[in-house]
Amino acid sequence: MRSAERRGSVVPPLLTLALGVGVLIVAADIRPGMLPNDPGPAFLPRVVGVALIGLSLWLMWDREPHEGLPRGAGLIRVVMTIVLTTLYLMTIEPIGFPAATALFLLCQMWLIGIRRFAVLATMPLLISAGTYALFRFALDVPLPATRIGGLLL
Amino acid sequence: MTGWIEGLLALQDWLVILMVPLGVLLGVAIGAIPGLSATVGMALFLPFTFSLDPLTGLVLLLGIYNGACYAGAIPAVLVRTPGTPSSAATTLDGYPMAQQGRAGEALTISLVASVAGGILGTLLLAFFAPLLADYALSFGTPEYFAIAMLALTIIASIGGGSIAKGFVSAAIGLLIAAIGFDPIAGFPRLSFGDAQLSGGIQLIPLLVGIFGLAEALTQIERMIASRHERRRIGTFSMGRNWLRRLAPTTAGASTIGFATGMLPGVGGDIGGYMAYNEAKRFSKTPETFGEGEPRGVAAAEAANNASNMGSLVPTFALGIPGNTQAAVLLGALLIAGIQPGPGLFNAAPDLVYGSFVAMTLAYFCLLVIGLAGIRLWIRVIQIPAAYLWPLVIVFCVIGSYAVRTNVFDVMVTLAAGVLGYLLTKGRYPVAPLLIAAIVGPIAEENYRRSMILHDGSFVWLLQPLTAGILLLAVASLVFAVLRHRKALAAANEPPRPN
Amino acid sequence: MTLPKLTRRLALTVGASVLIAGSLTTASLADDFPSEPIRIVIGFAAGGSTDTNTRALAAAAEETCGTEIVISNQPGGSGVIALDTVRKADPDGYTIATTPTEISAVEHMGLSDITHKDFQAVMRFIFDPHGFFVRPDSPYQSIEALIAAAKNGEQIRVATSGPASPYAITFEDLARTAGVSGKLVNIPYQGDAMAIPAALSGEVDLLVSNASNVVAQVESGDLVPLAVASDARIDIMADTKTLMEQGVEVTGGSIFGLAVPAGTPQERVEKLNSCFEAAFRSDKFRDYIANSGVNPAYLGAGDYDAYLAAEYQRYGELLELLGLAQ
Repeated sequence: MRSAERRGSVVPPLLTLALGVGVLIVAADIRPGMLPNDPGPAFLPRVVGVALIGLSLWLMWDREPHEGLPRGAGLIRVVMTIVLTTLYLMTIEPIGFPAATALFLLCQMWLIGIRRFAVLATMPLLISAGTYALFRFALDVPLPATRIGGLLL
Repeated sequence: MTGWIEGLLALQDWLVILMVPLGVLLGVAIGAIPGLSATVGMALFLPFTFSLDPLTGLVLLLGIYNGACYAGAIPAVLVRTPGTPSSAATTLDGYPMAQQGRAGEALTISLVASVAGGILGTLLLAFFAPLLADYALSFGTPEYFAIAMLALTIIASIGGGSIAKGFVSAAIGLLIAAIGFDPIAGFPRLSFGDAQLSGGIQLIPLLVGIFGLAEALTQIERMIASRHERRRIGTFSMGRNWLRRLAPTTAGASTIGFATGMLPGVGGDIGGYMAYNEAKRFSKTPETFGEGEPRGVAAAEAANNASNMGSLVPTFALGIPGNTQAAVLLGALLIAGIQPGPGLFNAAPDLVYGSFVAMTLAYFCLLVIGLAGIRLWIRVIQIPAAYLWPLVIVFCVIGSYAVRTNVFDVMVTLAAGVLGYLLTKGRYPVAPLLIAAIVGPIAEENYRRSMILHDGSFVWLLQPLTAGILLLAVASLVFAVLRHRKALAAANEPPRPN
Repeated sequence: MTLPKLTRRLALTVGASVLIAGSLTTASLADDFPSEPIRIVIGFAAGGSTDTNTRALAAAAEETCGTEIVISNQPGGSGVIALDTVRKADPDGYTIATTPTEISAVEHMGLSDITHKDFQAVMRFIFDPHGFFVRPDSPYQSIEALIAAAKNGEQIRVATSGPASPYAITFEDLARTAGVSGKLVNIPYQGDAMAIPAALSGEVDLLVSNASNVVAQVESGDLVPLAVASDARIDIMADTKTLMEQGVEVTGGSIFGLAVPAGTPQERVEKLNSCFEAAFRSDKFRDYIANSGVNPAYLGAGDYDAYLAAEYQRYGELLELLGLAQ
């Protein structure tokens, strides 16, 4: 636990420093403005870059408490949720919103620990159909749906 | 006075009166869903108003406007996902209250404060609009820069914890805001040649990710599926002496919200944070803010609703939209054959005063609908966590997709969600990131334009109004740092537990 | 494990058969275009002039085209995000872009590779001419006085909505034609809602904006129009002379039109052109034009294509001259 906390206190300042240096490098390539006396498009990124480098030093001195990253099952759940959400957003347009949502909910609920078959078989379909109907028909938001996707409901 | 009478007479039509609750209901539905903004909702019903008479259409749109502004608070309190950007400040204390089993109280306070702020704002708008519009015009480019700097100083005092971490969070926010075409030259920057990135990061996907998705990740991390605890919702009453406790905050916050809303381009999101910050500063117990302080909820909600009314000042008095929703209202007026502008009060008093009366009615209507509705939507948090948080993710995804029907925005939400989660783990407050992302572009644009307008000289910093606001910003920063050091010293007195 | 697998296979089978049936129906219905909802992608936020004009047209077109029309706002990057979405969409006529004036500029400026060549024009429906406005107490009470002052070496600050916005192109074209390039200094604001107050408060000397945006301020006497940049005078400011009348051969305005991805079948383009033209000529849209003060200016598919090509050429030359081309 203690070692995790100490690592936590060195990593953020280093990341901040790296981000600041990175921003300054990228900002060097930004075109100058065309208007006379304009500080230019690169002005703000430069200010932020310098500020980040300064802040990284300040963070070194900072002795505020922090939580480390989770370990074990908690970490797995978070990482898997991020992976599932990524897959979800990548499938929305190819297979349509209703099917993507139902699949996502099925996997996500299983991940969280729901194992009851009746729940897994019905809830994702019901929720996905309900939200699709709400957005498409009541709120007029055009969500993508393919014919297969629409039919899976 | 005759204007008011004409306004009242104009409302003697059952169809117009019917539009009030209809608009409010639509607004509540739209505002409560993250990603669907009042602007889009109003634009959706704009063609519908073509076929109505001008006042009827206007009343419907104003109902949506008022309803949506309040309803953003509902998901902000219940699942830490602001339904509209202006409810971002409401999450600061509203969500902690809900977690402490005081969701009922938090929702009631947010409703009553919204209604109070809205009615106060309507009165200010109705009686002083032409006067205030002239005042708003005295805010030129240098003054906008100063106001933005003042708003940025909130970063030092909001979110608690370490000031250094607040600044890091704000710097990341500025960086996010800098992505895309810059506001003056229109050149793409930090976009790495990507067409989508050069279009910039939209506010709503950022907001939905940094709050909603990040909270879902946090909850899923500590979730134990086998344990189904039923969340308490607590009482719906606002507690003893509520009027005495909350009224001063609400009145003050409404004034701040209204004043900021009057400036075109400055909205309820900034107004809410500024009012929250002042409520905390003037409180005898600032340490309770951020830990579930009812006055924090009241300040944020009163301010954003009053700000909405403030945005209508330039709309009605000058014919210049104070925000994007007001732009839709102007469109509706134009389509109805009414030219908004300085002559509007004389040319169409029935319409102008009719809308003021209708907005007041809409707020009373909102109070009734809201009080009845709270008992319904509070059930959201009684959904078992194993269903609730996956559902929140689904709504975050649809919400950000719906903004521009664009998958890129969903990627932004996901990235913002992971960033928000990591920041929270490191005890970096996320509110400064959001404030910087909203205010940063205003500060940059007006700084650069000031330099162009004054041929590269800094003399504009010495103009009385600009200098005054900037001094206020410096004082606010010094005050925040001193108070933080005092609090730190007090906390260090007993040996800190590990 | 077997049961979900079975369900999935079942679903896939049924799905596939419906897909086949679906494609058969689409084929047989090809002549009935449009049979599905049409989507119009707008590159600017809800409530702006592009949004309002397009929604008004779409409301009328739902009747004349006989199908639902869904509006989707994809603001960002001077309209580039929306144009990019549409040019990548299926060229089946169901996805339509609004063509912002900027479509003629972004490629020259190196901001995007999008040009009018990525699209097949459907029609232009509004040409809102730019106007030049000053405060009543301004020392420049005519275009002539303005140009004379600039020739005397005075710097005149002009409010626009960006260095390469259509407004800026028009006033730079004016400066070039009058021989005072560099004397009119561009002060960019974020849209008219910020630029108009700056003109009212005297922060800038001159405002360039669509004439329809400032009708109220002109009527109340808070702003004085010096000129409009159209071929002929416009109804909403009938007393205001055109630039041409004042000896400056420049026109400029904001265009509002529709286009579909390049490669859309010709008969579908024609169908869209005819049903949107019917909407344009409907009483409903006529009323909108009369009330909003915008300037109707119809161009059919072929004419609009040619117009866009000419504008692309003109912007290229102007941007080159201004040093804004990349």
